[in-house]
Amino acid sequence: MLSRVLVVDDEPAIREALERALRLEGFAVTLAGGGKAALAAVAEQGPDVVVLDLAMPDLDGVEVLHRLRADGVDVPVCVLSARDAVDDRVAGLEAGADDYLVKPFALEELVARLHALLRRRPRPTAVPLSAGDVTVDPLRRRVRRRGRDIQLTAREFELLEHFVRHAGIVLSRAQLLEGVWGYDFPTDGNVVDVFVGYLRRKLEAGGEPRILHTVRGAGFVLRPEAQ
Amino acid sequence: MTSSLRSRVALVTGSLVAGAVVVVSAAAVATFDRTERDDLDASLAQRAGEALQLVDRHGGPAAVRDPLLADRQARGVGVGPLGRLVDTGPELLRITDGQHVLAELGTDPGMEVPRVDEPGYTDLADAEGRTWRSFTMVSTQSETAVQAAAPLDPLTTRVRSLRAQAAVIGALAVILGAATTWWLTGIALRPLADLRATAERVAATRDLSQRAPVSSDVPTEVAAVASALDAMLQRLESATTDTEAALEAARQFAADAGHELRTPLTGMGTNIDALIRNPDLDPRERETTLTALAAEQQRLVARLDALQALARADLAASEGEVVDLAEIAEATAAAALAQAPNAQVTVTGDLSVVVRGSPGGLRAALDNLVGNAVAHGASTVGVTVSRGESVATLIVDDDGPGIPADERERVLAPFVRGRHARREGSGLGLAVVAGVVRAHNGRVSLDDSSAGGLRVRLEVPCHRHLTVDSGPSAGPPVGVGSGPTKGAKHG
Repeated sequence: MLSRVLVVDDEPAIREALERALRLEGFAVTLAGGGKAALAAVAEQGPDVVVLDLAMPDLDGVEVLHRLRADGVDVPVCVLSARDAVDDRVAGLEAGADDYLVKPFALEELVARLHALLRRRPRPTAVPLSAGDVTVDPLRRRVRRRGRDIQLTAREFELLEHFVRHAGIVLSRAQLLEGVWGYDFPTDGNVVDVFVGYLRRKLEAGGEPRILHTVRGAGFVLRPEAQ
Repeated sequence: MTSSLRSRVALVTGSLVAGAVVVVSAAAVATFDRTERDDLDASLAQRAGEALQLVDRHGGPAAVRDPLLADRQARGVGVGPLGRLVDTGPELLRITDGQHVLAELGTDPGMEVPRVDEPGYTDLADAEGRTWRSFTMVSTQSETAVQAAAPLDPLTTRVRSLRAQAAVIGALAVILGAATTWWLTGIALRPLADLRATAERVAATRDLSQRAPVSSDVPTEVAAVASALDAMLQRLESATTDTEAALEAARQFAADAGHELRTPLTGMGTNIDALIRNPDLDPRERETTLTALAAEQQRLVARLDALQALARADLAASEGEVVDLAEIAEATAAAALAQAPNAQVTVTGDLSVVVRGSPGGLRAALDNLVGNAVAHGASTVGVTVSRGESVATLIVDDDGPGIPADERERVLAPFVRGRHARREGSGLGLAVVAGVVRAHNGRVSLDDSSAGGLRVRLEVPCHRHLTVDSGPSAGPPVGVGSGPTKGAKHG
């Protein structure tokens, strides 16, 4: 069965080009010309993955993401940002997107990412895990640190779970992209840095010490404090 | 060495006061000393004179040898010829014959006997080393001399004490003068300190909106510095604000322009990648993709053209050539008809409306207006040119969809499209028009057209006497400019 991709962009030319290109890559493509149409299309068609433009006049991509995630829809979303400004991507990822691409992008890159986002990852074990003062409950998608509940988006949760499973081990950006995003192709690892930033902010919001450390030239490591 | 103005002024004042005190008190002490000595000399002369009178009246030194006198004198009772001289205190009165003391009143401190042949004033030392002031008078009737003397100690003590008092008072005056100056200078300099505080605040906070405090009691010199500082801050602030605004506008423009170029590039990139990744694409799909690619490329070129037109718009009017708006309207209509044969573009109004400005810029503006109208689906476009007293007017009417009243102001800005505008538009067309008109010191207004669509009215200042034949140098006297009449179109 073909994977169903919903392409959301207000530019007809880009919609048409993406429709043709993704169809030729073997996707079943549906289109939406704006934010409201996108919400309706997700509700009706239940696509496997969404390509979402951020800048749209009626309802912008960030708002679409907020509404989807608020309704509990966890379809993988790759946002398209027309500006190479960090703010745009951050806004999209923070709202619950799984990845971003800056326009213009290589079709190959988009296709590889869509395949990765579609790849089924093994269901996590039901056993709660912990490292240091952080506890992760995969079944209930709950994170606690020092008795404080921490709200994470789906992708943030998966990244933290990965770190907790490999506590004390330095993980490279490529390893994280493969383990968490399913990317088995070379790509820029910036999305990892952005998500690590989010995790740190949320994990340290109560004044707790840093637990996710950067290892220069190597990657990141979750290091439980010596107790 | 740097020192504060305040301490310098205080130091100078202190020195001046000290100098004055030294001079004045030295003069005062000298005068006092002189007066005291004169008084002493006068009293000694008087005493000696009186004693000599008595001696002479009583018959010379013999009378003075009277033992009674010595007796009385010894008992301290002032009776007899010299009786009235007895109560002399520390003074000494001696009657001598030039070699021996014949009689004396007061305690003889053991001074040498003054010689008869040396009358007058002299300073003598006694056995204890004290200095006495002495006056000797010689009798004209006998070999008798009278010497009156008094110790100088009391006088020198008084002078010394006066000198000490003067020194104390002088020192106090110096301290008081310096302190008062220090205090007053501090008050006078406080506005300067306020100015400095303002300057430091500006330096620290980079907040150019700060102003120097100037109250009514500030000295005029300081107030002048304050107002100069304020004027400088004002200039800096407005210059900074202008620069920041220009930078912000440029930044925004660059961001918007980048955004505008990314969109067609994204479509093109996707289409190119699709062609590359699908070498065996069926011919119809391939054709569609290539057509889309070409359209995107044209769109990109159109946007670049529009961007460059906008960049030129602001510079345009500085060229200042003589331009006939009627001719430009005619040329624009012809070009529009060639591109859109189904549209009807008509030009009405005055046959020649001459303004000074940029032919290229004005043509671009009119091209944009007519092109916009046709692109938005107008079937008839009417261009009206007319000339008033000081304003040339260009009106473009169409029967297209128009622009809602609440968007008319906004759409003149770059990259702003109306709600119902074509997506393919650059969002720059009306911005170019606005830029050109602004560069010509003119006005743009958008309105409803009687034809049913949009009416755009451009007004550009003109001079009634200006004609096509007056050439580019209409201002200077005719005949001065002999060069080719650049830009002027004859006929």
